[in-house]
Amino acid sequence: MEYNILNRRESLTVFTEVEFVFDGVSETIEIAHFEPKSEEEIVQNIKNRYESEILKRSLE
Amino acid sequence: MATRYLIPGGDGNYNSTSNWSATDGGVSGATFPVAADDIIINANSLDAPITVNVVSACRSFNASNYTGTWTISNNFSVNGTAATGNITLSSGMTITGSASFIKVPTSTTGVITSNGVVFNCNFIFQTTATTTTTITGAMQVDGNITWPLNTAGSTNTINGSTLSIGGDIIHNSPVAGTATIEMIGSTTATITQVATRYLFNNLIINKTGILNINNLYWGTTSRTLTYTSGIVNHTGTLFATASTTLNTNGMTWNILNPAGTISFTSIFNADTISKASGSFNFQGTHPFTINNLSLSSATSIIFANSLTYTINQSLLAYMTTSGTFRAVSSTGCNLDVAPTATIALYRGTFLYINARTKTLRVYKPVSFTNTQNMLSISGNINQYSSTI
Repeated sequence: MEYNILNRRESLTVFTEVEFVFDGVSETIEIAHFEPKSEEEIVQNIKNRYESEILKRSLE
Repeated sequence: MATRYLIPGGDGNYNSTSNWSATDGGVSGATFPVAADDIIINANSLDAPITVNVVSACRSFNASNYTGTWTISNNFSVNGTAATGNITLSSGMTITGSASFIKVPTSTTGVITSNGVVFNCNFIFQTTATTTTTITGAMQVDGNITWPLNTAGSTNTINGSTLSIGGDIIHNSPVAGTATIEMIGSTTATITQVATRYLFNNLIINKTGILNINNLYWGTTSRTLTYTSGIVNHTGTLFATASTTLNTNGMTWNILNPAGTISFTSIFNADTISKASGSFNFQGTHPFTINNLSLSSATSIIFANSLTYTINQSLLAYMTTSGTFRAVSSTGCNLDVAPTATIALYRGTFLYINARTKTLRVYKPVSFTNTQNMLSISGNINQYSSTI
């Protein structure tokens, strides 16, 4: 079999399992971070998710 | 074609000669930049602010050692072709306004270097033909971003770093490339597309607010769609191309219309997976949890081994004569169909499926009296076996 690898690209998604507390109730949420550039970006994504989960609960 | 230098001491209006010099650090009085001219903003500009007070254009835009403010009150275009149309922003400068900053690549390449500056305005990739733009360093647009209707259907390729968008995506011509597109911010936003004008890039949903999506044509081989945060209201269909990855646990899609092999790297939640005709291959590390599976004229429906797929309301699998409904191999997979769900199976060979919660079962003789539409058997039923 002849073959020629022309290109190789790897992609990384980091998954963090995060425990949040909403109205005194603990909840664990898995958050996906696509190709994070830094730990700071991961932390910011966690904060973003917390904000959107608060908003979601306020609209329910 | 000329070079125009922003100088201090003018009135701050783009179209005033009081703000422009023909030489670096020179005196004012030069004509204001037009489409064929290069703009240079540097330390000699002494952070002089500019308001784009009329619709304006230049060939290239190069800012360095400048922390002043560029106010986009009217549309401002950078029109240069290829390497002559680059945009370089100076770290610390401010771009803001209610109008649009426009990149008009009329050729094949152009570079946008943001140096951390946010386009706090709308941004337009104004293209009429196939184009390539490279983003060097992350680019962020807090307003809307538009790829206008391109009647030729030519693809706009965006390569390089992440393009983060706080406002709407108005996406009327195909967009491709290695740059990741990320939806961010608290502003309620939408993705609006012309049908089949695909967004081919890696896409991240990472909002702290609401994202409204009707139909979304997305993906190409090896691309990933990731949900990180935000409230996503999906009311239409996600048309996902083959050999893509969906990593969207935490949100629920309305309808997925899959093409070929789709990999799930987190639990995929949707109301419906539906498509008429084709082969379908659900792979990856995670299964789906949906209400309805409706695949017709299917030549094959394949599930990943060792996962449990959940269907809550209906399973409609209409196979071709030689169609198969199966796990990848004899290792098998689980198919949990709710006891109250409806099942309609048409043709096909079923392999390596463990239906744990609901089977089509006739147990002992059954009589139908004064009933309607109870049972329809249109083909042969194989010899009874206690375990199938």
